[in-house]
Amino acid sequence: MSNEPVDVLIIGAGASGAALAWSLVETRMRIVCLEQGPWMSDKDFPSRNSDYELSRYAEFSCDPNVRQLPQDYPINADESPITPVNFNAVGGSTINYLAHWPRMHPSDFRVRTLDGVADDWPVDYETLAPFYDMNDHNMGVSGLAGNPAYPDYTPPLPPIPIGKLGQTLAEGFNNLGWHWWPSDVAIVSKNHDGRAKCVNAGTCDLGCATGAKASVDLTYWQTLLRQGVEIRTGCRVREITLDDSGMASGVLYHDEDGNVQEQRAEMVVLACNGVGTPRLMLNSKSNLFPDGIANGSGLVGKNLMFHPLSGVVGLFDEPMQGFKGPMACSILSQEFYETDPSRGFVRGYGLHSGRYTTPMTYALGGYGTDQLMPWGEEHRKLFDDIYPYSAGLTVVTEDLPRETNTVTLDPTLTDSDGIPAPKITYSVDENTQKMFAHGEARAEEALLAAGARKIVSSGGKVWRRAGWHQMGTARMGTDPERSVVNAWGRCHDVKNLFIVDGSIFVTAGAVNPTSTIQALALYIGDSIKKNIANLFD
Amino acid sequence: METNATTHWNEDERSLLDGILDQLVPANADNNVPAAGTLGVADFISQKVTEDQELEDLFKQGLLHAKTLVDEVGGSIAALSPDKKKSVVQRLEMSQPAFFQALLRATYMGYYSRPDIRPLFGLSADPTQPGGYEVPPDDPHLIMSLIKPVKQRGRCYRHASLPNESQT
Repeated sequence: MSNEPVDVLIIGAGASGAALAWSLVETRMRIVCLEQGPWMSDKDFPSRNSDYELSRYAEFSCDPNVRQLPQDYPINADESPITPVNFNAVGGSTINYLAHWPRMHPSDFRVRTLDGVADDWPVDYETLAPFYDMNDHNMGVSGLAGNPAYPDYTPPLPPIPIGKLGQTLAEGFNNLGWHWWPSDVAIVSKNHDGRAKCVNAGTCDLGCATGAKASVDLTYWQTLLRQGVEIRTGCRVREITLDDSGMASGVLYHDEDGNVQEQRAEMVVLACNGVGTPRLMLNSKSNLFPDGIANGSGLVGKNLMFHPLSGVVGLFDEPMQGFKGPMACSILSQEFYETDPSRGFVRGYGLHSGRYTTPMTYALGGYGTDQLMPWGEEHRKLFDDIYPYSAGLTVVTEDLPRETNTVTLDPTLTDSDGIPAPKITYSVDENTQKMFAHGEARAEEALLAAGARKIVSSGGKVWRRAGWHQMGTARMGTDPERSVVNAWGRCHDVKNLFIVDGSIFVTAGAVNPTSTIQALALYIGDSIKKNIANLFD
Repeated sequence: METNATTHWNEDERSLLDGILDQLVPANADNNVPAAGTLGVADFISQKVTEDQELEDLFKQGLLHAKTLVDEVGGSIAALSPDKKKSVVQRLEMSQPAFFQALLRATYMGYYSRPDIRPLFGLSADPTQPGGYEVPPDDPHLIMSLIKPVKQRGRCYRHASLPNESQT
């Protein structure tokens, strides 16, 4: 079945697709978005249930291989120490993300020039700064102006309280003379734009029923629906189609009933994240592109980057009440973010003070790992003497791009529509291992300087369920032989095919990427508007 | 012996399971924290097992083995000394690792998902939304004094703009 052609067809209703649609809506072009997931209702969020923690290991797991909902596709991560996590719905992974909102640093865009590794981006911080600001306004970001780790900017809302835990750790960083700052978060600290302020529920991953957390179904999509943008839910794209001239003609997709439909479009935009986008491109084979659409460079699916992380936990004298407040964010130290050759590695990492976790997750090994706590008397001691008094720092490292870290198509695994599923082949490199060793030692120092009596967990293990940030698999660049898209997201090989998600990152930085993903999507939208007269030349 | 319909297992099996669960998450009498078996976590496990044939088979075999271990040292787990109870569970862990990991995981899930247990560790019995937790606002003077040395140390990032011609 074929539908009436549209001007802009966006695949994926998550963070980047929503931001791109918002940027283009003023053009009055007809925009349609295909989303494989459904609309979520806050009434269905497990954070409203009395046994809410159970859903973290079932239908609201961040791991699609655990959730196995009809809208999910499986991911073979057997050959990776880190497994990708996501959510499939209108809002994408902003439904269950933790909304930590640091920007990338100016140096993140210039790593080849400054540090002699990887490649420079074809855009820089200065170019993206107005789009970071615009996006912060649209999402409702809370934070404190004046952070000396960045060029000046002012978050639109005041910071979320850093609380006892943040204050305690801040003292530790101050004692060492190290940088720290209250975290920027895409969570409203006061009632804003129809959203109620954060109630400090501490279960951001289980859906924010009060709407304080900026999931894009509540932010961008509300505006877009009023402006006439159409979302079709339950629609899974199986292939991007080409016309005789080698331009994208549209897509074939499975509708809610599994029937294959065709949607033609003047322009196709991929916004399916760093795993979903290369998967779809690799599944879109033709005579012109036998290795996947727009893959003349051979780089589609290569250079996969995550942010490998590990945690260090200290034991304090007083209860730290780490279960209260936004999960991912109290304060963030970027003392070790920029390259310092004397440390023995290039690039850097952040020390994140997330809050602590809830009892069941603690017993099951913590957020992101599956290593059961001991039983018996040791268990009793852990819960009575350790759990309430614990506070941790997470070491979140930069991940340099390597062509051996890949998303490919699994030869046998498919989703429920029979579309080949992605396979992840990934390893943590030596540079990152050195960062871990350095970072875990610094985290111990900081916790002890903050008053921890002792260190109860020294890290040493990369979290498995930590593949939130999927980047690099269709990277930007000016050279068509060494990149997939140009400086504003247009595929070198198919000039009406755009990519706006984390796939286009050239390097990963060492911060949560959603802020940058959306700033880039707004920048690409702006570039499309500026080039509209000769967009496909 | 008849199977107890509400708990999936017959009385002997249930008694054995309760005894093991009491070892996995023991009570803390001082704080009135109950042990897992006493709390009835076996009901939760029963429900999980009912939903999964593979898990049911694993538990059936595991409990049969546990019974053998108990029989070797005495008549019932309830009658054993604390040291012997612990020893039986240790031997079960060593000899039936797959069953033991599944049991331990289910025990933690059943125990800590209960609203009556969370408050013992400071959390609310209620769902986290929409009520959440009260967190007092930070004292602005305290925050200003905390960030003062950070600001005084000055800029800690590198300037890195792109040459203008590359951005077009």
